[in-house]
Amino acid sequence: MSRIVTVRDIYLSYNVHTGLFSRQLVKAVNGISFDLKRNEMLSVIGHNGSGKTTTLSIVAGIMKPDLGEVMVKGRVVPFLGLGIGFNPELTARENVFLYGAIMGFSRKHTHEIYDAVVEFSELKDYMNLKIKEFSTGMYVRLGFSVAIYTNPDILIIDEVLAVGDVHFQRKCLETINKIKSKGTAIMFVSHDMGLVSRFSDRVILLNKGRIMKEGDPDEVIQTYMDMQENSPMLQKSRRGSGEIEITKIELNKEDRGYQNDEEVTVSVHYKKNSNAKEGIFGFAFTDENGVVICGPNTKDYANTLIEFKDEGEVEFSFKPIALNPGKYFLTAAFYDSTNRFPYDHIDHAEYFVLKGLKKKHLGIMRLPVKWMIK
Amino acid sequence: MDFFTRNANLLLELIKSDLKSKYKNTILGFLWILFEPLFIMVILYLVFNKFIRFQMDHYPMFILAGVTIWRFFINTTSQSIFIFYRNREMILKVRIPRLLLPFSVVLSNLVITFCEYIIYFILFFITGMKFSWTMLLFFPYLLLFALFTAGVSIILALIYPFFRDIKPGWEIFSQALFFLCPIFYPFEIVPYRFIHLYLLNPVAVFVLGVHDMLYYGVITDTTILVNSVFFALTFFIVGIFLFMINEEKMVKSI
Repeated sequence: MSRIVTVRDIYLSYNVHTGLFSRQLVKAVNGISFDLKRNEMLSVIGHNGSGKTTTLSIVAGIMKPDLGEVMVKGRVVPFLGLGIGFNPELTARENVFLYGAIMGFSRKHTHEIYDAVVEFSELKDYMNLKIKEFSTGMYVRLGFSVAIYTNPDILIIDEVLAVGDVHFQRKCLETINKIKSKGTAIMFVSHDMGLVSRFSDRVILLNKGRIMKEGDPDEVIQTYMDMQENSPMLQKSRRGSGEIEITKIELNKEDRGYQNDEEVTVSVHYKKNSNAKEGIFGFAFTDENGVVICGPNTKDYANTLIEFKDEGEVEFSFKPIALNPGKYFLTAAFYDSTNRFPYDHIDHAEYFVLKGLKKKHLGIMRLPVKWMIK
Repeated sequence: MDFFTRNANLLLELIKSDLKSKYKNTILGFLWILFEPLFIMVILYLVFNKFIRFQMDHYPMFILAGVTIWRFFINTTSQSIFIFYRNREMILKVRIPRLLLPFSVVLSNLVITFCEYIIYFILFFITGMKFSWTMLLFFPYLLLFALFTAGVSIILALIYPFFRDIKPGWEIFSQALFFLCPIFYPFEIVPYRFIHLYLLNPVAVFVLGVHDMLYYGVITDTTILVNSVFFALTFFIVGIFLFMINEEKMVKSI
């Protein structure tokens, strides 16, 4: 296998203006080295702001590192953050030709690949539409199609496949695999760990502009998942009249780690700041992406109103039976008896971590399934 | 030059897309290139032949010669000023020689201006003015002016990502420049003691040159020619130089 990309000790920082005369230095990439070979797919994972896109931009030759060396042999075709530099005022057809010219093709050469691009994108009837009239999905489809037909030596894909429909996503992945076997090297960024695990040969985990871990996909992904458990990502936010005030939220396990069949018990302490008599208590939990798993409250689930004391406590418990391992956030709230006006509502006030299976399965839960293979 | 031959195809596509997006949604399309100078001519004719008069023959033609080159300058610079910013999608997503962006604006406007001067020549014959072959020297002179405009455009486009104030600032400044050009009045009315100050305005120098070639039909005098070359080369070289040292910074801040 031959080396096609060599990155040695690159640094890149930029100034962010925080006011008229004040600015802050952001070190986006802080000493990264890696190699990429032909026929290889290298994935880069990490939190937002860990330097993934900047690193890819440097490999693509879009940005120059402040320090360090980048050697790239062959044609790099970047597809970064859904963009491929289309001009929204031009039609899809004109944009294909413009892109061809950007890639250094003659008009004749672009003509030769044009039909194949259109067929792959399945957008034949839309080629005379302006790009600004395209949906995001169509945009990505056209972008990916034209990028793939420029016959890249190195293809850079940043969070692109999250948009298209399932059918097109599969087609893309198949094509990526095909060109990979023909010698193209691929750099891939995705937040979908399932995809990363299934398709990568090697994974790099970035944190604060440095490589935290590099190597076997599943091992690196596991490190990343553990890292996520240690850093709450969802922002706490609070609203409400304050007539009832949540003073403390306690979980029955101090380390916040639970198994699927273990009971999670939460007690919520409150105090009364007004003459509010009765109301509703509710909680919700969401996964790390903010998707609400469920949101029970005392009225809907038990048809009970709480009679408020000066100081009191509400305790609830549940078993997270079928949920996937990961981090979950708890929202707790007191509402008035109509369930419309919040007294105190704290989003993502607490969190717990479900342990168990090493690998995350697709989706948010594991359904008990009976398999029959005939 | 090597830069241009290597990127000729891309430059051509950029110019085409620039012209297309300018005229695409209009009913008249590319006919606007013809109509604009004609309209201006009609208005100039009505206003300056019937209401206000300087004691000059073919006064509207005098204005048209100057106003057209001014329009080239002002249209190009005001489009270029946010060319990097407006194309940040392209700059940040694919690798292209970014200097092509201001160049494509200059060249697409040059195409339009060229057509407008063709109209000028047609009107020139219709109004029965006296043609001389030296008038054709105007076309290389227009290229020289394009070089100057390209320099100014690159400098403005570089400043914009860092200081947005440059846009309103340039609008006011260019208005001042306009009135300090001998477009609506002959150069002769500028008081003698201000002449040196007046000729510090590069656009005024070029307008003088254009008048000599297109209106008076003479070869412009050496001072104007030397000054034109000086301004064109200085601004162009300074523009390219500033671009080379600030390109990476600009990419980071758009």
